[in-house]
Amino acid sequence: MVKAIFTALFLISSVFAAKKPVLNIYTYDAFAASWGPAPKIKKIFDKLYNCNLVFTPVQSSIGALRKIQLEGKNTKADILLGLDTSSMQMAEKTGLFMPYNADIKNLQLPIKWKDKIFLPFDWGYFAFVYNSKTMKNPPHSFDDLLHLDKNTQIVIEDPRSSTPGLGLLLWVKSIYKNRAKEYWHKLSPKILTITKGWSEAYDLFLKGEADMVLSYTTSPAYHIIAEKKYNYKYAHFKEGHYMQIEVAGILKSSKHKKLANDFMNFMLSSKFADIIPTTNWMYPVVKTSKPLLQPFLDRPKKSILLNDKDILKYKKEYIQEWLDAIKK
Amino acid sequence: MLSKNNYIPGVILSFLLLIFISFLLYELFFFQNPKNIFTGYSSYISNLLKFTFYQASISSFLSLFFGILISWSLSHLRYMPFKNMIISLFSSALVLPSIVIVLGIITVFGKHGWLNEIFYFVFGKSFGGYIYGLGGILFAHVYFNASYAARVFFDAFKSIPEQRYKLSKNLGLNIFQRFYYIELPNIKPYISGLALTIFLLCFNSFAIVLILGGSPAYNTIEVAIYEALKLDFDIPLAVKLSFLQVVISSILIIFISRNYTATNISIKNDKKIKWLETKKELFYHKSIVFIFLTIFILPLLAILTDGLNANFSKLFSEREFWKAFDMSVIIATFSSFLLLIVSFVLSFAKADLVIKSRYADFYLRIFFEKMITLSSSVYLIVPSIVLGVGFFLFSQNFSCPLHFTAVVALIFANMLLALPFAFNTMYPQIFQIKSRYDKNIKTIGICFFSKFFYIYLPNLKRQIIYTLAISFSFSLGDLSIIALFGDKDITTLPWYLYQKMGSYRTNDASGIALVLLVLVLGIFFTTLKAGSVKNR
Repeated sequence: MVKAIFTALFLISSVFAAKKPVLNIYTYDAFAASWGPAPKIKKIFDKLYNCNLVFTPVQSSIGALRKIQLEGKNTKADILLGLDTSSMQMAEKTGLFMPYNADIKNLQLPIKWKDKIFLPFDWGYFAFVYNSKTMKNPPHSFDDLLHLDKNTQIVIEDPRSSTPGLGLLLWVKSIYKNRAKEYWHKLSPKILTITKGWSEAYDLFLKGEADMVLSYTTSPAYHIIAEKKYNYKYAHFKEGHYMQIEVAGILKSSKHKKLANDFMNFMLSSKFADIIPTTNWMYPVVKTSKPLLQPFLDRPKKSILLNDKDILKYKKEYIQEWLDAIKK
Repeated sequence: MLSKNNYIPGVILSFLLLIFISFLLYELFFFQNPKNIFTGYSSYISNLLKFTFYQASISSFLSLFFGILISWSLSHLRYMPFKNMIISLFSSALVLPSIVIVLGIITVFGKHGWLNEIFYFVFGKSFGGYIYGLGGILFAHVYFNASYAARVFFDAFKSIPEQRYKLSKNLGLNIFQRFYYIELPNIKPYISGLALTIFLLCFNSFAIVLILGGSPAYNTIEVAIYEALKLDFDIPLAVKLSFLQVVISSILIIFISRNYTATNISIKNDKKIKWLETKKELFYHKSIVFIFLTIFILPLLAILTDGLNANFSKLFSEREFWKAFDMSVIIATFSSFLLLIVSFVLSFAKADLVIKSRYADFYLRIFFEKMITLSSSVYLIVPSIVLGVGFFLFSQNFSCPLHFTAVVALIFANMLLALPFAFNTMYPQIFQIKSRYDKNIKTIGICFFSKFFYIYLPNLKRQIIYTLAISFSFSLGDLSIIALFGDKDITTLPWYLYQKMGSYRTNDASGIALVLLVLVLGIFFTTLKAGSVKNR
């Protein structure tokens, strides 16, 4: 009898052992790409926790949130990774996410972290990136952007789907306040197109369709370190650069909450931090084992970040204003 | 008695169709807070409406203008090589997948397109990126609708009696006077109905605006519904916009049905105008046809040349490609056979009702007949994006898996999309068969199934082939509902193509586009040849 029970237990455990738990992470396309952080993170995390990490790429991080909302109760996602400080309140309002359990005292961020649901995994500054070979007089302020050469065109992201797009909206708002609508109206002839996600916009820029793209101050570091190209630069804006802190959160509907929380803690390890700079081209949130490479040290002198509560309260209004302003 | 109840299945089916649509609309508008629909109309919505109307008006005006111009020139060219081929090419515009043509248009007329490259090479200057925004939307709309209009007007020109041309010759009218006094009165009856139809098509335009719009500044209501749901997850806004869309479409439909003078003008004897135009006039006609033919063919040529350069061995080894391919074929097959059944049952019932009303006019019969006609064109009132939102809310409220809902929605929407065409093809023939054979059948007294297999099937061969062709081509090329539901798991060829275009994988995109084009045109022209059904 005892023997039979043991055999049964052994059989059951072997079945479970053969089938590793799957942790599903929905994220934006660049994060999950073969050249992005995902493959390296998976390699380490799968080994550490004997599981199978699956990244599902969506065109943009807000798009990933919409996918979860569209799928409703049947969503496969355990973690949503890639929203930022400007978009996480909107996600929290859906009530689909649960608090993390992690010690955040090692976080090294320009601000003090307070949120209980979303946890940061990297950060950076938004900036317009240009090719110094073709653009000789880059703008130094938002005002310069309006007075660019007639044929110069920029590509930006849609604030409704992409966090860089939303970041730019808040950036302009924090500088122009109630004149923001007027500013967008003036800028709209310079906009070649508005893409749904960052990758699309950056591809357009690299293909030469657009002269400037809304990206990050750390984007040139990619071209220098990975491609040895020194002609891609970011335009230093004297008004300061808007900051982005990218975050991840656990879904309430997750069937692997413990494992999901393990992943959240993993994001705060130096193993994770070491991967981020040269794959996602952003700053890590905890100390890396080796100092950051030189191209990352060209930081803007002044940074801007709007208050979380204001964003939640006024985001819809700002977007509406933007939609009205870019109408031609 | 069978003969007595012949129309019952059709009536039930059309009733079910209407009930289902009403249920979706009810779900859409009243499951939510109904107050929402009537309040909070921001300047955003009024701007949206303004642009949609503006864009649709210019598109329809230009389409009609160029449609008349092309058909006018075509009908005056007595001897023209490949004339029939050109005409059937224009009529194929109806089934060409819009996403494929848009890709072709970008390749030829885009910022780095053929035209700009040539200009840059010759004059050292290019036009820049004029194809995104209003210009591109208008161009694509005119591309599709002018060819469609040209096809209809060509028949209208051909139906002008020879005597009138004789008269114009005797009166010594020049070509403009002749157009004004002789030809215009003949094509006038078609103008209002066609104008409204094209207006409705442009008003409901989705794929073209989605791809060529380039920014929310150029949104139609359809695209705005899609964005409200997929970008903002703002269900109240999506519902509000859907409501607007349905109301406006319904009003347009009422106008269309009043103004619609039967488009199926089939002219058997292709009359030749006896008097040759002067050399100068012929030169103008030839140039007009040549210019438009070039513009029409260039995007197709671009798809062909770029497509042939694509890396097919790579494309065909991708699992995702086959996933999209299989899904497309499965959906097209299911929706086509569903369409065949639905259009047969509806046409059969209508024919039965019409014939019976000849002997005794019952109000109920007239009501049933109207109901069947309405249910066959329900798609025009509820465009696919609205249908998609309805299906989506259905899946949310009854927690039905999204994947399943998506497949059902796709099959159903594609069936409805082709139903008006199928119904208009099937009905006249079934009516003829019925009025010719019904009495004989009664005398012989054969059962329904032998009646179906021995009498209807052989006589409906052409119509069935045509219906399948239209439905397959529509379904294969459709990019509307799939845009709402599409992601990595739920994918079709047009959606896969859209994804590749979005990430600027141009090489893969042109490969997929060529596959789609070959599939659609292949099916369309093979069936045209097989059935040689009058093309429209």
